[in-house]
Amino acid sequence: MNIVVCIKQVPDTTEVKINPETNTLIREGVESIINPFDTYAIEEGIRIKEKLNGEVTALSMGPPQAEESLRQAVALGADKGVLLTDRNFAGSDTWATAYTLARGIKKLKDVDLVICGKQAIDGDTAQVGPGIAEFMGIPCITYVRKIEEIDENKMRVHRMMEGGYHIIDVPLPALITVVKEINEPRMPSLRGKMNARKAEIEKWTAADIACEVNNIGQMGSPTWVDKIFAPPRREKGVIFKGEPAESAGKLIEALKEKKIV
Amino acid sequence: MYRKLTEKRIKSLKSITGDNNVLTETADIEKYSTDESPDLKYMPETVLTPENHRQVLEIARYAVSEKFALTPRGGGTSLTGSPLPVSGGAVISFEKMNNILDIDTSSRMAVLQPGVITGDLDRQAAKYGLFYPVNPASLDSCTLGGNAATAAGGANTVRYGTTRNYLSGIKAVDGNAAEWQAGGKIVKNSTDQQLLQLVAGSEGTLSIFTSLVFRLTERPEKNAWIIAPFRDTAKVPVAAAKIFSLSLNPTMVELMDRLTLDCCRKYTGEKIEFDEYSHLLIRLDSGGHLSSSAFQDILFTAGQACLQAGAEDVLIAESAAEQEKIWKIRSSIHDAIKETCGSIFEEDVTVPVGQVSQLLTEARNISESTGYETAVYGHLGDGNIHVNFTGRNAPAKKIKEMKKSIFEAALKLGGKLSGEHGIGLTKKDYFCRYVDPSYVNLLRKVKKQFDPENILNPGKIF
Ligand SMILES: Cc1cc2nc3c(=O)[nH]c(=O)nc-3n(C[C@H](O)[C@H](O)[C@H](O)COP(=O)(O)OP(=O)(O)OC[C@H]3O[C@@H](n4cnc5c(N)ncnc54)[C@H](O)[C@@H]3O)c2cc1C
Ligand SMILES: Cc1cc2nc3c(=O)[nH]c(=O)nc-3n(C[C@H](O)[C@H](O)[C@H](O)COP(=O)(O)OP(=O)(O)OC[C@H]3O[C@@H](n4cnc5c(N)ncnc54)[C@H](O)[C@@H]3O)c2cc1C
Repeated sequence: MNIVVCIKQVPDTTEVKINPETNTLIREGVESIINPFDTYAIEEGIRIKEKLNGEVTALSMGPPQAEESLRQAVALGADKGVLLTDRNFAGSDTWATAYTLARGIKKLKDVDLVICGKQAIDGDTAQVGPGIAEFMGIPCITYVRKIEEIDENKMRVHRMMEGGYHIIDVPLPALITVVKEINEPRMPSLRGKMNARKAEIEKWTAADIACEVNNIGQMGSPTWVDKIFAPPRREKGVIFKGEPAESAGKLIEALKEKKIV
Repeated sequence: MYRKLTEKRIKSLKSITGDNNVLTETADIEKYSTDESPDLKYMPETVLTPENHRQVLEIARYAVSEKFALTPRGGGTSLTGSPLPVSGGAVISFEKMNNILDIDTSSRMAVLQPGVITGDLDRQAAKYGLFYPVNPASLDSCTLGGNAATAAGGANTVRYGTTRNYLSGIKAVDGNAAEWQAGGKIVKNSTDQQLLQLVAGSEGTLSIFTSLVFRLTERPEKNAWIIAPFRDTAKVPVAAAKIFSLSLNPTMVELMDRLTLDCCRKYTGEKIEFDEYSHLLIRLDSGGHLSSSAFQDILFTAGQACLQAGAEDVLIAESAAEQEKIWKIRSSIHDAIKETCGSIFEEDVTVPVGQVSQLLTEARNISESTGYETAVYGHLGDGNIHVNFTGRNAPAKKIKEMKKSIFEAALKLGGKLSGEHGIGLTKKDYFCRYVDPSYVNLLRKVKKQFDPENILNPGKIF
């Protein structure tokens, strides 16, 4: 079983600061961690490997320092890490990110299962997982909270829904994105940490994975961020109190005043 | 004996501290009638919440002239009944004297009122890159006044020492209602340090502290935990000894046995890996001078030593989230055991470091012969081991028997009754029985000097 886990290195803060001039995230001075949802993806990948044998590859697109996240994945039990890193990837939106990761996975060959986090805590779009599946032409199941059964050819998963869950049978290869209910990530072991220290993290450029230049980085990104701002606070509402007939009357008056009715 | 706090006396107290700093309603004072020791309850007649040194001094003067008891109280986290007003009178609670007055970064000293919560001092120090390393597990509910009065220790003792090593200055009021002070923002002091050390750990029986100076130290930049699970609890102290032989200067070297882990898992709801084993927990830290990989080398060395000593595996927690989880589990022990298994009693006996294995064996023997399971955890680096006898509703006679056995086991090994919680009320009888009578006599004379009328926290220690 060949498993790829996509991990994104993110700033360790929920209060991401934005450069007002470029509208991009300010990453300097903030400690970086593996996107917390991706730690569940790593754990699930390792658990499947422990059951069925095979190999877990951690894959990330990002700047050279994202290598550290891949080492952490190896410390947790991933067999290897691959970093897609190239100046030309800079400025990728979710479309370009998904395209690039899909190209990387293609180069890895014979991948049976791709696992992503539900979403990244900085970008927060939850689009990259489904995007990769689309580029690869494989089924995608989001919000997976349990893998009930899995073998070389298929699996049965539980997809979290509001107030319940779907049970879905899906053939492999497939992509899933996972929620934190799926497992509890382990702590890295001494052996894992020592492996991580020694591990050779492969670095692939756009050329290595045969990307179309027009599809990557800023050039390949159809999303243009025009402006980022905090939405204005919603004004306080008005509550009309009293008997129903009375308060309904007041409401109608107010609506008329605003020329809504 | 002591005089009652009549309405007239309450009125006088109100004139000292103001009406709102004198509590007399049962509903208001009830919570001052207990601490964290099981089954003890003594109602104060009143609770005073002075706001400054002057008020404390006036209260003491009035108590001496009217002869009623004064019992200082910090966070009330004592495990020995030490802040309970066994002779009634007034409890002085320092909840309104809880300000950090100064953090002097050039001298690395903090000046503060006694009601400051211990954890708050370190959080404040951290803002200046400084560190207050004494960390009793009750960190976020005990006070520095209480810590000074009990000479509190904690898991960091092996590397950093106890409250004693940081208490540098004091302002106090004794049982003659005389104010006195010693020390200051001074690291080294051969002038007026001795009395300061005498009242540290005196459990409120010699003086009431109104202002304290604590030394701060350098804040380590890197921290990590190593967890090594062992099938056989007896191997844990052996592995700890191995760690010490490597001169890695660990900040904590802790034991959590299987039952302790089980209680913590149930109580916190956290998953604990290898919870079917007993754990050796080692914390290591370093300053900025070590590179990440050099620090990791130290972790690897410690980890490999654990494997060689027979650990089933070794886990390393470097991330903030992992470390927080471990401390959450570690600091929940007391409540976890109490809530899940029931704690008949917990004693924090202390033995020479080389005798810890022996003590563990003795505890197991007592457990086997009495049928009450023990949850054992504690500080392998300094020999201070916490032995909990678990269960509920044990007959009083049996409790006495078990306590006596564990104390005598520790004494036989060259140990002492308590390593950090102190004597208070619960160990008073044993103190008088087991401590050198000439020592106790001297202590009585000291008490007479500081507090001739026995106003301050009467009925404690001896
Ligand atoms: C308003 C805005 C402006 C932005 N501007 C820029 C910019 O100017 N330059 C720039 O570089 N980025 C920019 N980004 C970031 C970039 O568009 C996204 O971070 C990136 O495309 C991934 O999307 P996401 O963070 O929403 O991930 P999600 O879709 O929420 O992530 C879901 C999962 O996909 C996987 N995944 C996501 N990203 C990666 C990755 N890089 N490597 C491996 N796995 C991954 C993980 O498993 C993750 O859990 C911006 C984002 C936003 C929201
Ligand atoms: C969960 C838990 C974990 C614990 N872990 C540890 C540990 O790791 N290490 C350790 O050493 N202890 C530990 N303890 C015991 C306890 O927290 C310490 O003894 C602590 O120092 C008590 O501080 P306090 O502010 O709660 O004082 P209190 O319990 O209120 O009082 C303790 C003694 O100090 C006296 N006192 C308080 N303030 C003053 C003052 N201003 N002037 C003079 N005397 C005063 C009181 O009269 C009393 O005798 C633990 C307790 C609990 C409940």
